[in-house]
Amino acid sequence: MSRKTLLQWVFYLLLAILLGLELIFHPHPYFGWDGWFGFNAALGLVAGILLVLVARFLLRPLVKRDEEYYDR
Amino acid sequence: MTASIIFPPALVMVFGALLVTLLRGRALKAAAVAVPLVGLLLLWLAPTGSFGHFSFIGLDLVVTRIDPLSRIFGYVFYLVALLGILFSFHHSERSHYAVALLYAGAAQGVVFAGDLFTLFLFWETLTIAATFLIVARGTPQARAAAVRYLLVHVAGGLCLLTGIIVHYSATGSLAFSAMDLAAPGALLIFLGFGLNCAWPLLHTWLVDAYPEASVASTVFLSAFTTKSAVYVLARAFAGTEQLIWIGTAMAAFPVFYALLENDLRRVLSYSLISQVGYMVVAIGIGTDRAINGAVCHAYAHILYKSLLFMAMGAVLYRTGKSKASDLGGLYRSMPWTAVCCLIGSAAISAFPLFSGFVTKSMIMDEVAHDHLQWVWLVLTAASAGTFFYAGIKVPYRAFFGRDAGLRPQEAPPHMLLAMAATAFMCVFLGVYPQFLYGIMPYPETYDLYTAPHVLSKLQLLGFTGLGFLLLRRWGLYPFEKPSVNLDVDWFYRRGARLAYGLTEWLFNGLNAWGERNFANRLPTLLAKFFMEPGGHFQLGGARLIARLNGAEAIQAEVENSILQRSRLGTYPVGVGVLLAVLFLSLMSLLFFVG
Repeated sequence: MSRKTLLQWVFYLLLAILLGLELIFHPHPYFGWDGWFGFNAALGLVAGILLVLVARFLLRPLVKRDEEYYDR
Repeated sequence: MTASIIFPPALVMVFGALLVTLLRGRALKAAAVAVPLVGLLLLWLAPTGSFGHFSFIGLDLVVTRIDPLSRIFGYVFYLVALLGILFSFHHSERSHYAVALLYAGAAQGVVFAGDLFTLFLFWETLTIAATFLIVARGTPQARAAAVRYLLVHVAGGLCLLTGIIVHYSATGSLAFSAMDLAAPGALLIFLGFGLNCAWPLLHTWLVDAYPEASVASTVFLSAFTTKSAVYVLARAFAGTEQLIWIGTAMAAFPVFYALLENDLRRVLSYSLISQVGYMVVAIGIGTDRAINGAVCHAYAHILYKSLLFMAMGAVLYRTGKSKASDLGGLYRSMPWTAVCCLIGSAAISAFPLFSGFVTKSMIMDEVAHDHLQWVWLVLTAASAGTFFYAGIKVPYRAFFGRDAGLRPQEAPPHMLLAMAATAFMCVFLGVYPQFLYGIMPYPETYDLYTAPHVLSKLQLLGFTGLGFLLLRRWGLYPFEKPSVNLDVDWFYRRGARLAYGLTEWLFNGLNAWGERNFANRLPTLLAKFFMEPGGHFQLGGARLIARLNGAEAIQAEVENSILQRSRLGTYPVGVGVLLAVLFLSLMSLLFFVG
């Protein structure tokens, strides 16, 4: 196994531990839904991916111009 | 300590700026470092209160007001001025140091101004000094961006000035204190502040100009203009609900642009707006705890943001490149810069034990306490986005990722020293937040390092990281390409061209039409007519009568005879008599009627 894949597996393991720890340290919810198990993890994962996809597939086609756009 | 030795913090810097124009070489750099140090010491010793009351053209001015809110901004402004000067040591020209100190001094002036007149003076100084800092890079892009910067800020300054005048004529007071948005002039003042704060739609000057300035200038620019605007908003408009919505929009929309943008210094500029959005939300909430959060976040933000700009500046200084598509793999040749950048990234991403964790949590807890669940959700999602673009993208594209084959030298010692000191502060504030609690405006207690809180932050960041790995595996990231990304500055950059074209068409068209008709055709016609006025007059009458009788035109021989008779003056005597009689009867009629 290369060092890179090993590091990735260590990272996945850490994420699993972080999720597992929530069983012990339960966060105090403010709104109700933020107390659901794994809420923050899911939010991070979904928000991160969604923001990139929106930037790439929605915003870029709208605003991307070539680099000399304003110099012409 | 008596009031007489309270030296206005702005003047420390302004005199310092004047002093360094007399020096050169090592003395110049030593003096430039000494000025903010002296200022910091004087501020630390200065008691709380208002000083420098005097009357000027009938206005009551208060040049220096030191209270906990202004003091903490004063501290961090001196601190970042010091770090920025240190980072600038590759500059040998005096103008850089003089303008940088003047700019930092103007920010101090805004922060300690006790009245709106003094505030306005320093507000405009801030704009002018910043323009010179941008233009100093000397590239055509920097010059153009500086002019746009100046125009936009002068417009904002005029808006502020109008607001101040309306406010003064309505209240008769120039005191700078809390305002109600419904009060006369307050809305204009609000908008003037908002422009410097880079509110959405008013923000493009920032992302336009900051990446075009030189590497050291950007460190200064990133600190003062927006954060002095945060200060004045916290002073005047704390608890104004509109700020919650402005701030939420402000935190959210730059995330998309930052993810898309290729120039890493422009990524940081968008990120700056997003981070200031959190402060604006907190000011909108307006409770003591929220204001503490806004101010402490400003403190931490100034440091980690300048650290990131320093790191990217060092990369630009050594490689001449700042675009993600040109960079990569620099950790091999610039390891210390990479470490400092990672610390800045951890701080802006709010990793536990770094400054952003403490200060962002102060704001987020207040948002949650206020049960603003949508705001909380947007800000938390924006935090995930922040980790993606500033925590991962910036270091990944510059120092790791695809190796662009660049093998520059490590950053020069003065830059490393400045970065190390700033990085230390980012860790220090995260590990020892009591330092911030000791200088924040309102005494409150915070307990942020609780296990569930730390855990939820780590989960958020960790799984955002997982998202990054997945996107990379699916080939969806990275995707930045060399490009211009349109923003609302399109309206004045392209719009100006359109307005120019329109004006050209309208006024030059009008001019050409006028010349054709009034300068050429009309005199020709008149000259022709007056060569033979009597004949042409008769011809006109004859043509009119002919047309009334249904004829197309008069016969050529009639026309000729009229013209010939007129030319020779051979009219029958009877016509002359008839005209004389007509004239006399007209006169007598007028006489009798009159």
